Amino acid sequence: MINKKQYGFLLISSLIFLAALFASHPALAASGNHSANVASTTPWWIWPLVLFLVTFTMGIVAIPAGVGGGVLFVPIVSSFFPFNLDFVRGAGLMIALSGSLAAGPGLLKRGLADLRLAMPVALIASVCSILGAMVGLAIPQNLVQIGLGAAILGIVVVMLTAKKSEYPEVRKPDALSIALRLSGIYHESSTNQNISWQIHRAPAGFVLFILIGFMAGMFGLGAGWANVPVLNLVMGAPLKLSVATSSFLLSITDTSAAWIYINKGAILPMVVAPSIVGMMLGAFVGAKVLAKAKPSRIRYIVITMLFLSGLRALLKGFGV
Amino acid sequence: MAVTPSGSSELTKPADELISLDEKKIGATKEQLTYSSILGLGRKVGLAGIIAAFVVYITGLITPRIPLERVPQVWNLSSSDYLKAVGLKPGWSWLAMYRYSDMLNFFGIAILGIISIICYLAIIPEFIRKKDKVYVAIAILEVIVLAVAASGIINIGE
Repeated sequence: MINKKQYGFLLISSLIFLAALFASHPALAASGNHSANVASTTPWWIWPLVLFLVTFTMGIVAIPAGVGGGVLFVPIVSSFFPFNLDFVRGAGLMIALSGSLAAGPGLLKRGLADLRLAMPVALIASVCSILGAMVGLAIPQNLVQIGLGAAILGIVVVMLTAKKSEYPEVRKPDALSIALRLSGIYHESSTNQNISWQIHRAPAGFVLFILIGFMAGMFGLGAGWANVPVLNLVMGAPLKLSVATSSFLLSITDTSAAWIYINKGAILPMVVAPSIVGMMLGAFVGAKVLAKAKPSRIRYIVITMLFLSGLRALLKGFGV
Repeated sequence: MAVTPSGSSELTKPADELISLDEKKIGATKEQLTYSSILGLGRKVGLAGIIAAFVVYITGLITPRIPLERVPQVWNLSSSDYLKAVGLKPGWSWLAMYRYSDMLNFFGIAILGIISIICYLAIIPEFIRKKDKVYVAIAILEVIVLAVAASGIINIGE
């Protein structure tokens, strides 16, 4: 149960978040040239500082809410900051990539993330994330905004409705998963048991990763929100293995899309560096909050934040 | 799903001594450990590079290619217009501009982007040793995909 001190901490974090957003208020209401004027009259150092504070708060809530940094970063920062959507998506991918690189090596080493399961899925998702990035950088930005808004609202629905199965029952593995030998055993330290797993419906899962990869590249969202349900509910991987494999998987999917953004000039160090540092420090605090706080409460706060920013992206796309 | 009681000591054994259970293996495979150690090293170097370069950039220790005061005037532009406005070329043009502090940031970013390619190259020999042709092919294809993405040869229209 969360105590008063921790509530105070969360409250302060939320206030920092709100203060940071209000600090960016002129840009909040701005768009296009007006945004440029506002940005050009504000001392340059304000923006990375505000960005750092906002991403630090995002990092705190992301882990207890069970979402990646990219999925929070892109809709919120594109809604409330004066940066072009290209730079926000580029930074979103770098944040998702950094988060994945932070967790990936440890998860692989402990055998929680499965390289064999990740590799075919990563190949499909990375090809499609490149295509998504190419399309996302080529089409008019109002269309991307509409797509982003719709995608975020879709993620909200997934977060509210998707069930999780800790150990899905896989009675018969499919031919493809047998051919690829997608099965194994991992050690569940909480119960001191060895969990044997296998995969079914691999073809259906692989097809879904086409869409996941495309969306990750197009919107710079990362894709943990979609990877986990597909691995867990569609393909039948145990929840812990799905979460860990998804986390590692992002390091490959997001790398391929990130290169398209880097080579297109859609990476601004002034946006990327404070965001990565803020998100990682916030995640460090968030992991401690997770141990004490009620994740469901934080999850609903995050879902609300996502809903509002998704709605704003949709409205921006329609020019409202 | 089968659940088998186990002592945690089983997991501390090196990859070569993985325990066979129901013809499957517990814990990380050798290629997984190889991948993990390279990824971990790349992460440390890349993130340290990004942080160090950013400190140099915002403290003005080294002159940036685009003055700090100018950045807020161009960050609302699309990436194509931004490149034109600041006179940069797309792709790897930053590599030749290593004397500028803002361009130094791209070295750390590039390390994070390249590390997965190195990881894949490192595990291919292990799959070859195991005669796992399908995974050799998957790994080679992934290297090609990542290398093509990184090369900058993919040209995106306006």
